[in-house]
Amino acid sequence: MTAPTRTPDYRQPITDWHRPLADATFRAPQSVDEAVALGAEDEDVRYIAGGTALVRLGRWGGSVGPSLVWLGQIDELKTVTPFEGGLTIGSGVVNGRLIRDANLVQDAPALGQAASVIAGTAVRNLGTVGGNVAIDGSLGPALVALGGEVVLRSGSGERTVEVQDYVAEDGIDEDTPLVTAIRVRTDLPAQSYQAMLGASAAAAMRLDGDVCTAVRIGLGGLDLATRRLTEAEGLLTGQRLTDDLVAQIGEIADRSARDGQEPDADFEYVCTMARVMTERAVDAAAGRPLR
Amino acid sequence: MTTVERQSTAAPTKVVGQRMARQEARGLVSGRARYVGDIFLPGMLAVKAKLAPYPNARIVRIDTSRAEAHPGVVAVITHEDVPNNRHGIFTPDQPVLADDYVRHIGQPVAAVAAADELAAADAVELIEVEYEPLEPVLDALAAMEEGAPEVHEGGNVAPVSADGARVFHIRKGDVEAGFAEADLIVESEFTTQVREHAPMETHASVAEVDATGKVVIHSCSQAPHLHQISLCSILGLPFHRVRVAGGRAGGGFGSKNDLCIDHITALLALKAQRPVKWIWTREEECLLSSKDQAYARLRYRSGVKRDGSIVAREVEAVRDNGAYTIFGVPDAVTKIGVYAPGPYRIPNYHYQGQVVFTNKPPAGAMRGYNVADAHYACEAHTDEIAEALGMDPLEFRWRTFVDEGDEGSTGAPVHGATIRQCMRAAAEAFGWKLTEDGAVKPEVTNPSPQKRRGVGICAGWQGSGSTGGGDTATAEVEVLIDGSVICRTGAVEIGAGEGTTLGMIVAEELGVPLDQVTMVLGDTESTPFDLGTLGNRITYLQGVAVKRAAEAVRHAAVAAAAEVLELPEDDLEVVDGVIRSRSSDQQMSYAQVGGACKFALGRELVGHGRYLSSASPLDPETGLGNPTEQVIFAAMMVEVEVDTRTGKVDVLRSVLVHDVGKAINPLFVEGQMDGGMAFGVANALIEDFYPDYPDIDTGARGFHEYKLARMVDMPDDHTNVIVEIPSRHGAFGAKALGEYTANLQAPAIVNAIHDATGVWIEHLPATPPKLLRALREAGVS
Amino acid sequence: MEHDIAFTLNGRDVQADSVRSTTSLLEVLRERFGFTGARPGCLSGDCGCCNVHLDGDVVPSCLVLAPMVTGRQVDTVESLGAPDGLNALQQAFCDNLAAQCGYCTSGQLMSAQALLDVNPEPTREEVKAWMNGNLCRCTGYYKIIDAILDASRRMASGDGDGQGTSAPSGPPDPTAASTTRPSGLH
Repeated sequence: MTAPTRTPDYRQPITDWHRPLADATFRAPQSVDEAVALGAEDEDVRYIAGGTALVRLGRWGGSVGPSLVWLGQIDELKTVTPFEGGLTIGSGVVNGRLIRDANLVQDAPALGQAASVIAGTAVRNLGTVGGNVAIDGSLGPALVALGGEVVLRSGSGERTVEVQDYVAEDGIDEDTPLVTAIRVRTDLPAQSYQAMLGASAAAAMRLDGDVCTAVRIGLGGLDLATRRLTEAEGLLTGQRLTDDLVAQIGEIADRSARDGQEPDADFEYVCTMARVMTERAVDAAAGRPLR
Repeated sequence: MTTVERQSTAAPTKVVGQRMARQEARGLVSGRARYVGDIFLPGMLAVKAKLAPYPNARIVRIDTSRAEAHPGVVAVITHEDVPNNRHGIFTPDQPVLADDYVRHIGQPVAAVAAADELAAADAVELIEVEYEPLEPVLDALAAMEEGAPEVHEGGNVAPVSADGARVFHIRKGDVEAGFAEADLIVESEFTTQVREHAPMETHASVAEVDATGKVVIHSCSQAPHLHQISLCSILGLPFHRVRVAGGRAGGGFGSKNDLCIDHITALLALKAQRPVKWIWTREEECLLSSKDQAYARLRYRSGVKRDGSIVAREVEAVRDNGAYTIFGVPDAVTKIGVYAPGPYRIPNYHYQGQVVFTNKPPAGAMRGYNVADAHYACEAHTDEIAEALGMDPLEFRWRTFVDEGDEGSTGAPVHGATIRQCMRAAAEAFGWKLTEDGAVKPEVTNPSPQKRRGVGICAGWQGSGSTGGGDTATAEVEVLIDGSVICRTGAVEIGAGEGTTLGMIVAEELGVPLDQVTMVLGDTESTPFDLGTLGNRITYLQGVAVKRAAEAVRHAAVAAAAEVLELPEDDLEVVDGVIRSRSSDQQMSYAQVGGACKFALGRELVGHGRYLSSASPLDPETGLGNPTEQVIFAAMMVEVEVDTRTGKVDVLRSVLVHDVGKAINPLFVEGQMDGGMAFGVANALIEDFYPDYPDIDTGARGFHEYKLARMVDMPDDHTNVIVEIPSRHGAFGAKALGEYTANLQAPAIVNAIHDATGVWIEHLPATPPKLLRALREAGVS
Repeated sequence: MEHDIAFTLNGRDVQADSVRSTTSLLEVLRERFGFTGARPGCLSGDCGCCNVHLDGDVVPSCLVLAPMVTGRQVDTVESLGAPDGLNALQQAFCDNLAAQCGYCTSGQLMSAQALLDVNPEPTREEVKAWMNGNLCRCTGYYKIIDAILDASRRMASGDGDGQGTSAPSGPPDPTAASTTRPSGLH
């Protein structure tokens, strides 16, 4: 049994030491309009909500950018509003609420399961849904399984982008768009989120007995961009769930993770976990024993 | 339920043996306890250091002029500001600030004291250091080969003795003759990983220069007196001009054994003539303090007979020591050899140990110090032998355990051999059947086809105090004029309850309640010399010293009372803290005696105690001798569940047994055993500090990457069993414990994984990716 | 950019003047107000040593930028109870040896207190799920869990504060939870 070895270049110096943050301007708008206006006037503006990513990572290298616009005082970003067949979750809703809010747990259990593997209780009280949507893995696969759409506001107006496209930065051309909300659908009640080192998967299904009548599957991970497994969904829809069928779903997840590449040993594990977590998410959502 | 097995018939005690809260408990839970980082002095400056960005590079040029001109900067130092730039507890080879070369990532090159942290950090970036990057030495085994690049001139394998030998041997009996007798020869090879101590308090240091020019360092050192020796050498100052004021650390685990921060703050305070404070970031903690040792090779070869007796054992160890010696030779290379063969009767033993330099942060000492590595390799090897013999792992061990008076690994007889009592207690608590005919491991049921369960076992031994002699402890106990008691020792409270434990011994000896005793700890100016809180030595060695100091002051009190009362000394006895006449109703309290001493008799009521371990250094030729005075024994059993599709291991239940001789405070004993569990489980399954070094991004930059055991990683069903078979040496029969509690988990878990899946883990830790690869290679996944 | 930050700290209205935008709440608490119970452990939100309550929710003060607390309520471990007036949780931590080196203890207490505030009678599993972000290198967590469950029982039985229970150095109640291994096991 040999461990994989990397051969980093010893001539590459480390430059991003952990150090105190350089100063920045800090503004706290009271409304989305005000925040969008501040974002439009200066391309260096960074929106900050909980700060659990920006402040944490900024200390390596010592900068959060020259100009912070804090969203914490905008109450309209902190609401959860139902719409027909779904919920609009404000981008400022903290991750901890996904676990503690009984209504959310009822309607979107996969989100709470996903939130519970993000850091610890205290960090979840700061970190927000809007901040975590762009972090690969994390909430992403659960949001995808719930048909999540990111609501963006910028100087040029409001648009929505599907979560997996937002993560891939497809179709986002304005500078510094503000994420105001995530819209998720609650049409598929049987849900599960499963995670293991580097890969997490979520499935949301509607079942008629042991037949899957509708399904969405999300997959992602630290080094695995959040994606939707539409091929797997097509294969499952209208089918009776069997071990063989679920194994085929896992195969698709594995192939998607590999993306045509020959992975190194570390990523080989991620691909395998993509397979196993996807199978387990489907099985758990369907109430089948996990394999 | 905590079980206590007692063989003690000692006199009843009133304080010792009680479950008592820590003297500082209320301060700890109310945020009032002070750590070094909590000290704020007027005019205090903040410190940051320029760190080596390469694992190996020649320094071409250092220019600090821009940093010196930066607003807020008061002092900048480089190696040119250090009177004696080389230090080391055994070999002075480590620079305070790098001069000719940098030899590991993060090595300090220069340091700045400035008005605040931000100014200091900005100034550090203005220090220009021109480097010539060199090919680093990363693999200890490759580093041993001819023609390998050198970390230091003169070869990568460290000399282990004055005559330049580079292999340390222990030769007991005749291994070749032993192997010739064997029915079966079993060979195994293992490696261990680098770990980080990760005390929750990163290193912090506050240094100031007092009105007389004396340097005062507020330190979180585990060993203030040892550090004072190095500091005086570095600063070129006599001992009375350097005070290390410590006594409390927010955890240490060995990281605070060796000097790595106080020298830099002291130099800056002297140069700035202002107080300075440096609190390390977690990243600095990761890179600037010494690391745990990794073993690049632990090769075992054993000859056994069909009846389960071991007739010969060879052990070869190669320690990846990082860039500087610190404890590597002679201490580490000796210690692992002593305990590597395990608590077994082995007539013929040959050990070869080597220490190799690499361009990594230097290996110091970490809880478990080499013995953890030895336990893992020895006990996994032991299970391999049992399997080869077709024998139950417990039965094989039982047949060959060392007994009272048997020859130990270095030839000296083993006294206080209690491994059988420990293992029997473990078997009873765990349900591993042990009868005259053999042993039967408990049945386990796999919950599903992909989840497999198994059980594992570990037996172990370790020494008390440092290995090979010279381990001394001193203490002073004074009774004040109101009868209250002050005990001064150089020990440091790092969280195990060292102060309260020693205070309980004093209270017991004087017959006073614990709250009448105050402990003064770890200050080179006000406490007598001590090696520090390290190496399993406080309760065992320092316990004797404080007990003797308390005895001495009790005798002095009796003598003083005899003078005052005009009674013969032998008419007086101490009962419940009162000195009473046996023949009359005359009596004196400690307060009365204390007052009489001060005002009537003109003397101090002070007692001194010291203890020097009878252990002695090993013979440099044969490696034989008596390296520890008190061997301690322990046993463990665990049940694990392996998810064969993910490689994840859950520890379901565990039993940990330690013979502590006498639990001075059973609550603290449990605390140490509990804490050892977190260390041990993480050693087995989680912690791997920089597997991709010199890429440090996957580990050595903080807790986001380097994971410790969390609450959910611990088995709910854990049982501590405390065995108390008294030591002939320790206070009230106490033996050592704290460091040792972290050593048995990894081997027990690895053996349980094997029981569950048939796969051997030959390199720690058994992370899910690594285990899954092994399971696949074995066709189990 | 400097800010004058007014907020409520441990029940009192306070103001910190001329604070840089990127200064953490942790630094303000320690350096401006001398509340050193919150301690730096990682400055990345990964250890929990600096946890405080912000408007009643437990948060890592190292990740909160100081201007974010303007007008809000911050409570540190010093608000729970002074050494001579420990609350039930603090007293349970003392009696169960839930603090060893003590460095993480303030953060453990603030997390645990937040749990008991919303869930006064948590199960062992709930305690573990809630406390999982608080690292401890000394205790193996066992006695921390014991202490939280013990505090919950004390609160339920009305033995609210620590006054009148065992002295810090006296022998604790021999029936205290610390004498047995985790309750609620098979």
